[in-house]
This record gives sequence, structure tokens and C-alpha cells, in this order.
Amino acid sequence: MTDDLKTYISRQLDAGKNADSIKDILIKYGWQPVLVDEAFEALNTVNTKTEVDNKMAKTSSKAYSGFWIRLLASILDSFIIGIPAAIVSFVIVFATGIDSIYYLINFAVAAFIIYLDGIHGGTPGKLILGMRIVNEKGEYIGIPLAILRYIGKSLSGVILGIGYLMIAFDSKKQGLHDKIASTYVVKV
Amino acid sequence: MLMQDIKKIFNSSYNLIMRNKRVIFPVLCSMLIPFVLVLTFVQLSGFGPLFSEYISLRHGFDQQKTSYLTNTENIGKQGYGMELLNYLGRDNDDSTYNSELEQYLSEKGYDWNRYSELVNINNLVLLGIFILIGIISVFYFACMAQSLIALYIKKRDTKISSTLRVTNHFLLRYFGLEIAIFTILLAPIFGAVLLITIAGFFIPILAVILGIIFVFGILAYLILVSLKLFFVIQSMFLNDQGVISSIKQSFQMTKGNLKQVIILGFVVYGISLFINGLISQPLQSAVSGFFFPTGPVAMSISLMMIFFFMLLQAAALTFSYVFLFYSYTNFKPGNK
Repeated sequence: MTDDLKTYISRQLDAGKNADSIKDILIKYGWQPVLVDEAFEALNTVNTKTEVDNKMAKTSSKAYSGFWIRLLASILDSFIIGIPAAIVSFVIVFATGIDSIYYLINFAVAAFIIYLDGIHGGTPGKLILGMRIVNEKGEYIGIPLAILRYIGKSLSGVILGIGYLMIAFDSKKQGLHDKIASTYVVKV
Repeated sequence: MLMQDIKKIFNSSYNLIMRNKRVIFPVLCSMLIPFVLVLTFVQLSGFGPLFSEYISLRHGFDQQKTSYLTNTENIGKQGYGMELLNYLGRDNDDSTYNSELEQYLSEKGYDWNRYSELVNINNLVLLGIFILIGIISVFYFACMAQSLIALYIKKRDTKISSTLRVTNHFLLRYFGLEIAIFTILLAPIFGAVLLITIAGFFIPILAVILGIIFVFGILAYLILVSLKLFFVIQSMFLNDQGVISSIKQSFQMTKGNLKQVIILGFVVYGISLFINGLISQPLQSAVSGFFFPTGPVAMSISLMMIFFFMLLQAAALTFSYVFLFYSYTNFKPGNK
């Protein structure tokens, strides 16, 4: 991807040309579609980052949820989700004698957490305490990023939970998993 | 490498899998075939009927236990609490469940010596053949997985004929690459062990000192070389390169970019933790539950869980391969 290509696209867009027609012309003149798409994406990333920096700059640091309230949310989640899941798996495993059902329920809980984080902005503990997980645009993060964030949580907990402790010391109250997925936990 | 790049790579990988679900087919085959081979061996060798008898007897034993424990008249009787704890903690070493099961099987005339009669030349040859078929098929489908992902990323034809052609094109080279990686990673370890052993014959204290130095040295070497070889497979499949060229390119690409590779490696490690905790362990437990079930219903449920988690594991492993491919294309100088 060359700077010339990006410069050309940027000038065409500023001149009011439609993105699709710009793409068609470039492909017609032999540019690879992959390179053209990447150039557009790079220009969008630059524009988005500028908008994001402005947006996040307007948000005061008090809008980010800190360590203690997020810890409280986790404790609430352990009562709302954790304990019922443990009771259900105990009863089913005892009744059926199939130990691996415990893992199936564990998986179901993880999938549920990912769904809630991605689509509804957080698990019940966060929602009750008025917090939401958002991306840099302030939107809910969706399933792919919720999976990435969940993977990041595994890393956060690996070395004595340092990834979680980062929340307390970071200016935007991001843990390691938040930094990996570029997410923020904000108060609504 | 910014976190924005990791997000982009993750999203691209997720989208590729969701839009082209058949990309998980080779990895799924590489898992299904060994499982089918094990089942076939169990039936052909004669172990099957012995297992069935064991399952039936164990089911009877568990029914006895649960009938006693769920009978409300027994609650409060002497020994009830200990019985309950032993049954609930039957997987623990200090539970008496297994010794009681052994006694029950013995009373029912279940003879474990029949298993030793099945260890004969015919079964050993059969086992050898099945192991060979298993290794070859797992390797072939691993190569096919990389080939298919490369075809999708390069937006080439992904029909079965094209996939097979590309897989066969890379098969020997992929085998050579795996041998080369194995040699690069493990040769220094063998050399160090040999040196320590020789030193130990002459000056034991020197062997101890060398051992301590080599442990840290080998660890550092393994981590560094693993990072340098991070893109070797992607380099081969995307650029159609040979073994030495792929290794050279991976070394060149990672030169001066180790920090970014470490971040990527960290994310890949996180994906493996995720796969292991949520998918691999349940799969192992389901397989164990299938081969050592408490009854026919438990066996059927375990089989369904095996297929479910096998499918998930295939998807997750394919995702990790796709993630590595996209990490490579993001690193590639020509695309920046």
C-alpha cells in the first residue's frame, strides 16, 4: 500500500467523488482490490482515530469505572451467575453421573458472558451498577471483540492478576484485557 | 504493532471463519479420524465386549449407590454422610469408591486377566497399522488446513480439487519444514544433555553447574527461536517458498520487530488458554466419559458432547491458524 494511493483516494474523496467509483477506477487501472481496500481502511482508521481522540478527550476521567466498582460488579456476578450455575451443574452431575456436564455448563456460562458483554454492554453486575463496556466510539463491542476481551481476561489473570490490577493505575481505567480489545468500561 | 492492528486481525479472522465455515473441515477431520480409528481398534481387537461388560456392571453399581443415597429413610443413618462424600468425591484419591467398585466387580466375576489375553501379536500389528494411519492422516489434514486458509486469504479457488492439489503441492515441503523446526528447536537440548552427561562422568559438580546454566540458556534459546520462527509456516504457504527460504524470511521479518511478535505471541497464548480451558478439557472429559461410562445413557450423552466439543475445537484451532496468517499479512512489508 503506498502513500501515493492513499493521497489519491483522499483527494478524490475531498473532491466529492463516491468511494465505490474511486475503487472501480483504481481496480480498472490494475490496482489489486486488497490494496485498495486496505488504503480505504487506513484512511478510515486515521479519520476514526482523530474523531475518537476528540471524543474521548471530551469525556472526563470520572466517566471511566474504576477498580473497586468493577470488583464489586464481579462479586455481584458471582452471586447472580456463578452460584446458580454451580448449583445446576452439581444437581445435573449428581443425577446423571456424567462429570463432563460440568464443563458443558462452564462453556455455556462463558458463552452467555460473551453474549452479554458484546450485545448488552456487560454482565448483570455491571448493568446493575450502571456500567457499560464500549469501544472507542462509545458503541457496544459486538461478539468478536467480546471474545477477544474474554481471551484477554485469561491473560489478565495469568500473572498474579496483574492485568486486573492495571485498572487501578491506568488513566482510562483499562485492564490488560481492555487494552487488548481496545474497550472501556464507562459509567452511564 | 498497535492494539488496533490486533483488533483488525481478530475481526478479519472471525469474519473469514463465519463466512467460510468449511475452512474448519480439515482440522475437524484431523480430530475425527483418530477417534474413529480408536473406536474401530477397540471393536476389532476384542476389547469392545470386555468394555461393554464393564459398563453394564458399573452402571449396576452406581444404581445401587444412588438408590441408597436418594432414599430419604437412609439420611441420618450411621455412615450415610461418609457414603455420600465418597460418592460425590469419587474422582479423589481418598475416596473409597474405586475400591468398592473393584470389590463389586470381583463379586460379579469380572476377570481383569482377560485383558492380558488380548495383548497378542495380531492386536499389536493392528495397533501399529492404526497408529501409522492416524499419524499420516493427522499430518495430511494439518497441511490441508494451512493450504485452505492460504487459498481463502489469497482469494483463490477453494474447491475440493484445488485444495487437494495445493495440499499435495506443499505436503513434502511441510513435512521437511516440521523436521527442520524440530531440529532447530531440539538439537541444542540434546547437545546440552550429552555435554552434561559426559561432564558428570568426570566432574559431577561441573555437571550440576552446567545443568543450571543450560536450563536458563536453553529456555532463553527456545523462546527466542520460537519468536524468530513465528511466521515460517505462513511464509511457506502464502509465498510458495521452500523450507530454507521460509525460515530465512521469518528470521528477516522478525528482525527488529520482536516486540510486536511478543505481543502477537501473547495473544496467541491467550487463545490457547481459552481453547484449553473451555474446549480441550471438556473434550478430554467427554472422551473419558465415553470410554469409561457409568451406563449406556451416559455413554450416548458423552458421545454427543464429544462431537460438539470436537466441532468447537476444530473451529477454535482453525481460528488460531487464520489469526497467524493475518498477522503475517499485516507484518508483510509489501502491504504496508
